[in-house]
Amino acid sequence: MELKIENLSKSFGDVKALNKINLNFTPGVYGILGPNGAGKSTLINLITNNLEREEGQILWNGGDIIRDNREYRKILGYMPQQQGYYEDFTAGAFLMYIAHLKGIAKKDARSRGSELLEIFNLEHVRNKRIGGFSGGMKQRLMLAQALLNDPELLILDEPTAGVDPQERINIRNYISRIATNRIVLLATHIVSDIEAIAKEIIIMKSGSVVEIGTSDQLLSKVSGYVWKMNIAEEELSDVQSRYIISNIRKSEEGLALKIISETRPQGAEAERQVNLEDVYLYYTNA
Amino acid sequence: MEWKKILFNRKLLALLLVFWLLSIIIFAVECDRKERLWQEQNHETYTEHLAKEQRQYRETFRERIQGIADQADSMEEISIFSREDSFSKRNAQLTKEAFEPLMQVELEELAGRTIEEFFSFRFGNICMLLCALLIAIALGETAKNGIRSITFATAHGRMRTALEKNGALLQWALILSSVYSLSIFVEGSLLFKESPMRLLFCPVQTFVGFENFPWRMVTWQAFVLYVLYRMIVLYVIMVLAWAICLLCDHIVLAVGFCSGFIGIEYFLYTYIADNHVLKLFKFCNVWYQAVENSYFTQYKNLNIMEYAVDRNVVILIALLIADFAGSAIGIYISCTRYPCGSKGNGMHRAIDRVKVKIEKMQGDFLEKLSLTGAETYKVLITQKGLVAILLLLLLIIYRADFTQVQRSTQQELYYEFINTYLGVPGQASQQEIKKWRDKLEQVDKIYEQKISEGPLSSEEAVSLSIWYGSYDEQRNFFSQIESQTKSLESIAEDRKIEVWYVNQHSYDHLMREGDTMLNVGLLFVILWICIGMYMGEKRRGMLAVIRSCSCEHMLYKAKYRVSIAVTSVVYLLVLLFEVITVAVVYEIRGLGAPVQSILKLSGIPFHITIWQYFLIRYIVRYVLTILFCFLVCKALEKIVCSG
Repeated sequence: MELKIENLSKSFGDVKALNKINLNFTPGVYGILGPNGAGKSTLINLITNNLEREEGQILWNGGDIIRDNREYRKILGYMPQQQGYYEDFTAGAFLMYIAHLKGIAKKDARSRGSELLEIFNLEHVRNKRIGGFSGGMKQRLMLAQALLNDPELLILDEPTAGVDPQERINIRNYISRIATNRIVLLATHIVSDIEAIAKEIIIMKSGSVVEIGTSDQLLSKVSGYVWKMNIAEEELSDVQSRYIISNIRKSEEGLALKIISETRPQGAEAERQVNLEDVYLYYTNA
Repeated sequence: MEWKKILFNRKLLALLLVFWLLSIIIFAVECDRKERLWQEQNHETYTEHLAKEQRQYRETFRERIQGIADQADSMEEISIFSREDSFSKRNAQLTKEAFEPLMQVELEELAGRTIEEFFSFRFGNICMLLCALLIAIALGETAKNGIRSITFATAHGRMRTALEKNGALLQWALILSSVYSLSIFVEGSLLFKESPMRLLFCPVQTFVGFENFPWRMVTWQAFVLYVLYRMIVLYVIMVLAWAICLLCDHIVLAVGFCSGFIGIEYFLYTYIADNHVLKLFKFCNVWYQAVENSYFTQYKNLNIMEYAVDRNVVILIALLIADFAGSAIGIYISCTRYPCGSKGNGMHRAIDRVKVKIEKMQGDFLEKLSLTGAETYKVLITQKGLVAILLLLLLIIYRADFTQVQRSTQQELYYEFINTYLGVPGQASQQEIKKWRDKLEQVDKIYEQKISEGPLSSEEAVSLSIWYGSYDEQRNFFSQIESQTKSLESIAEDRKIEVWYVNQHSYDHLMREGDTMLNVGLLFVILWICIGMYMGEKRRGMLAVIRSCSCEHMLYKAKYRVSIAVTSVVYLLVLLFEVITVAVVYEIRGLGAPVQSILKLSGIPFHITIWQYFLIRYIVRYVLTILFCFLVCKALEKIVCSG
């Protein structure tokens, strides 16, 4: 099972959204991080074949996804960032509808739908109109539809946006559990979502991959550039203009700052507790 | 600010626009139908008739006003009306005083069809009433989006929001009343090619509809007064509906309560006679106030404890009391009821329990649907296709006029002849024609004889001419049937087909390309269904998910199936309406005759019967309709889903 991206490029007018991307995915969770406009959604739209590519290739098990489109879509599960649903459908009916579109037999669809509704804690609203759902419930329903066909390639664009912490952990654990025998691409702004479960993290910026590696690899690369220091409140704006500040906390001495910088700021000492947010800030603000 | 919320509610705004457009269209259609029926029955245009009526009214106007004064004076001489403190005396005196100033009014020479149609058009008022109720319910649904939780917590939010909502109702009442009145007036003046300026700046009594309107003013003043009066009526109805919504605090309950109230009011409005002891319930009634225009143009005094009080003043007082009560209830509830925390009363809980059961049934049903079934549900419910079909059905019901057209003597004779001798012309029909020929020749002979006998006195000449003229319709019938017989004989000889006597008149009607209005309605439904079907996917952000599914092609096939099925149903509805209307109004007989029996179709080279011809004709039309639907779907699929 392998998804290979070779020299993939895409432009919108004069704007280069993706610039000769090369990636290789094998079973496991891949986190895609990057600020708005980094090219995450463009990459996902190209992988799901929702966007016409300009240059390069996307290969599933060696075959081009455009050539083997029908077969490719059989193994694909996709949850878009924009919640697409029919407000007058009930949760159960919506899953059955998507199951029809995925070519799943009615009986299998019903049992699979019930299973997913239970997993994502939606069984109690099975007969309720989706129009009346909260943002988090709609998000979970969209995740359930992506999993209906038990896909080998699962693409999730911001799956936990608007979901409460309990449900986020639930979703995260479920994704982690099912990722053993499938490829999961997870694009998100919420760094903690992928920190715990991602096999590899891809950091994108301005249409290019700026860094790729496991969580530990990335953390160790940045660990020398994270500092902590205490300052008076009046000095904050001056420090902010010179450094990337990862965290500000009020302390007895004034303000305790966590700073990302390749050079040691005056009066700062090395911070031992480095997390993925610091990595993200380091690469996307560099 | 509150009034703008309606502008941001796109669905509601669309519904308001639909009602407005509907009233504009129906106004034109009603005027056209009135004209057509009038012409068929009276052989003159309705405008001509109105001009005549107006002329007569103008000539007798002063006499009428004088008559009112004289009648009041003469009533005083009758003992039962002369009692000082009686209603009758006061009423006569008040009426005399009210109409006296009109003696000086100089009426203008205007037909005023616009004004006549404007004040007799009630459908627009019904649309206005429905719009007003929708707006009131929308503004009354306070719990939505949790906005009330925010305003309730602010320092002046409670009272201010309630007052603003009340003000918004007044603003919308004014908007509805002005937009509807102005648009219908402008449309009328365009339809009847009457100068709006002339209409607006002449004394309002110029128009026969205002013969019982005692206030001296020009039309624009009366028009403004009417708009304001209608605004007050709408405002009061809206305030009451708003108060009901707040009282019920449950949308289902509120709609149910409003519907019940409107239903009872309709019953009172329809079944209480004008002079019944309970007449107040008829006049101070939602339907009477919102739909009728007559109370505005008709002067009438009511007997209130033997005092004669202008009916409009009584209505106005009743409206103000209702407004005060509604506003007070609405504002009180808005200021005192907590927006959160309540689980509702017993009735709310009962409704919710029923709702859960219905939801379960609906959920089970939806889950069992196939892709085509789900697509049908989407088209009819999610895309509101059902609304479009219901609107078309309403239009069909509205257009269905099965009243028998009054036939002239010539037509009566023609129908009788055709019904008697339906079939191949034979000896019996020949004999009947001969009988008629002999009869009419006899009439001609007598006429010529009388003329040749010598000079006639003017009286004799007139009576002879009247006698001879009384046979005109019979002569027309005879020439019609004779010409049809000759044509049938010639077709039979040339084509060797046994053609029948069939009613040319009814088949002419059946062959007209249907009702234009309904064809437009059919087109509208098809476009609504098709556009909604494809654009809906895009608007709901479903395209990305659909494109990631392996059986996407099945969805498009299902979309074709559904659009064709829905188109077929609406086509059938329109067709049934056409056929039934012609069958009921003009009678359809002789469907088994060769199609060449219809003289207009005598050139058809095939040997088919009339019913076969019409079947083919309807099938071709059906295929063209389906083809149109298919092409629209195909184009939309290309534009929306492939891009």
